[in-house]
Amino acid sequence: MRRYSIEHQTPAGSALTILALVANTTTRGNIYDIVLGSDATPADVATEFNLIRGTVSGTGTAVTGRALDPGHPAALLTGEGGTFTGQTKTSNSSMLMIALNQRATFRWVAAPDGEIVVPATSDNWVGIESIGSGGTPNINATIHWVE
Amino acid sequence: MKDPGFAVPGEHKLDPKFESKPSGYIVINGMEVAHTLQCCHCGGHFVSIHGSGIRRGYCTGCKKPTCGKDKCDVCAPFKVKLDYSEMSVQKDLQKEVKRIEKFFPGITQAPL
Repeated sequence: MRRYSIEHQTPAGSALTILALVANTTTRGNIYDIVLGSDATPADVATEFNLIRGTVSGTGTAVTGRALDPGHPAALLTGEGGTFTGQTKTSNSSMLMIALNQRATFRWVAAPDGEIVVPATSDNWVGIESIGSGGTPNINATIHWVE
Repeated sequence: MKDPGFAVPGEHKLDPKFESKPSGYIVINGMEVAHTLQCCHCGGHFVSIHGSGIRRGYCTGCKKPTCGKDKCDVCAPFKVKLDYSEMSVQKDLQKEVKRIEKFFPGITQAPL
């Protein structure tokens, strides 16, 4: 089991995907760690995020997965950062709802067997979406997964 | 007492439950503030908040909690849906899919 990481920075917004982990048909991915924060000037801006699924990854900014062990090969799953075009999200697929003040840093860690699974289905993805925000601060997101 | 840095003002008045067998942990500003449970039917995580009145469920087939959404009331294990979406349903799971589809047509074909 190999561990990888992707990260990206996108301004918060409405119905905006910040960072997505795109499936590979060879293997499933198991997300076990998510970190959200902001490097913008501290302010009291509240943003709601959801961890959602989608069936078409669309086109975003390519993000290369980094192996946490330098001796491991390149990741099979790929990352993409916002903003996206042509993306399809699955409705009512929220798997984790996060309400966060810009001043705070949020981290979710899976317990063993509690990981969020990215299915080995072509072009499926799991990503962090900014549902709505009181402003447009930069949001820095990190996803760790096992494949 | 050090400010734990709650994400939302007044959040300290809520009572997120710390589970004996959590599926996940939420850490805000370096402090563990809540545990999450994972729904056995959709794979989603939720925080069980004491006294919130939010409807949650428990599947007696899977013997695990569910998130309480209507679509998760039916016993359609997430693993079955996963295998079906990948079109890699193994023989023993084909029986499971047929059993579920007999009573709830289309449930395993719904998007994850």
